[in-house]
Amino acid sequence: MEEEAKQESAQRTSGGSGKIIGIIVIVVILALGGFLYEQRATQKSTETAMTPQKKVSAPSAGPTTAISQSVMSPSAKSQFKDGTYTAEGDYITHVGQKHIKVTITIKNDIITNSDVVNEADDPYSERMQDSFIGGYKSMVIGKDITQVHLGKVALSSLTPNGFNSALQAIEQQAKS
Amino acid sequence: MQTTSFKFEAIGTHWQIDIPQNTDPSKLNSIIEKTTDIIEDFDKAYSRFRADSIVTQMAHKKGKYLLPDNAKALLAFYKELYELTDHSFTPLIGQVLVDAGYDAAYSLTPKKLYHPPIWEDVIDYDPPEIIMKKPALLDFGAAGKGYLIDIVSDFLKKEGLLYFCVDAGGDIFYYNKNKEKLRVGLEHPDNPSQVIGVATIHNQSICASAGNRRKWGEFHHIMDPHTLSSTHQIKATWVIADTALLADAIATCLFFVEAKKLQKYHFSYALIDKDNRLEASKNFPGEIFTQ
Repeated sequence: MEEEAKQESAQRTSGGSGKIIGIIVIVVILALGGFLYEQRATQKSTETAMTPQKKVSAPSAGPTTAISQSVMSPSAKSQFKDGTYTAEGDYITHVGQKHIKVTITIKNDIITNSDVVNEADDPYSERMQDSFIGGYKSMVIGKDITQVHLGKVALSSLTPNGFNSALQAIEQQAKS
Repeated sequence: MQTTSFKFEAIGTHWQIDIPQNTDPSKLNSIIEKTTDIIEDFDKAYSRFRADSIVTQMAHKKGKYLLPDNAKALLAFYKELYELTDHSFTPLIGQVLVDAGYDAAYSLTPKKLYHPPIWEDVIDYDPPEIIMKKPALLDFGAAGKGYLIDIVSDFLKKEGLLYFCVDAGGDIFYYNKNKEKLRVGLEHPDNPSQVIGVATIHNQSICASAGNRRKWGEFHHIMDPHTLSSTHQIKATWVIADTALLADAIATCLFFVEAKKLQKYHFSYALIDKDNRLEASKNFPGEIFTQ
């Protein structure tokens, strides 16, 4: 719900100079990091043939066509104005032009939030974008099991009973 | 749901099966007995860890062998994934695991490793008969447990249970006639007292695989048949699917190939790489904790 409201306000205040577009494109690229860089570098090959066998076959972000921004608040000495920015990316596949929407929030020159919306209209591109969307996320953090209400735990450390006891036995032998 | 659990050790792991507490005691006993039989039959056919299994016989002498009816689906699925992963996912990895030290006696002492043979050079399967053109040790560790969870789950469904949860060492199938979902913690591969997220499942399976489980020396239990070394890029994978066979197998395949190569199957997944970076499909049901 919150996300939707943000997007709406972004649409309302749409408009911006070419300079801002340039900055935002750079920021978006920074946000997506090396992953996107790799995509761009291989854009030619993905345009001609997006086969699943290719190592890089997720969509590459092409030229930005639409940009909107919101919540502009002045911030001293910042390179970028604080706010939430949304950019539409287009790219060409062998089944036509596809869209992907990237929204980022900047505060004090730091990206505090980012969101990628899949706008693909065919199942193949949808999957490609989904794997792309999954790909740029940050590092996982652990929470104590006691803090989280759970029915079960997957990846049980108790799994390899015989194996672990054998390993411990060998380690003991190695020490003695 | 008030449940009663029965727990046991089988196929090298710990099992817990939860069923409704109000299950008739005589029915409960018969369920436990039949479940144990099902697992024993499966183990006796497919385990490379026991001397009397069909798989062990096939490793010693070429010729014709009779496999159980349930081998058909298992082998067909292995063959499909064998092709999709450029032969990385293969039951013929058995001898490589043994030579690396992961043998029936858990010697964990590596010897010289040899590339596994090509499927067609060894296996000629015409159900229910399998012809071993030469002796070879098959290993069904990558999907066998998931398949066994499905077989047990199918049995429990046929018994008319309205609720059950089969947990074999953290690989799970959960069934509930009601809408209630099960929250499954995703154990942190570096710290068993932590979770990195929660998945919610319903009438589904979640299976996980980690490269730092069953680890010895430079090896762990997932071996790349092309490099003859253990995979290092991926630390752990979690896969949710309608069957445990699919979830278990894909959880291993993701160590070898990108998820999009497996897109003909319906599943959702989360994985973390060696640096604890997350990759998850958008349809992953649940929450993953990220920085």
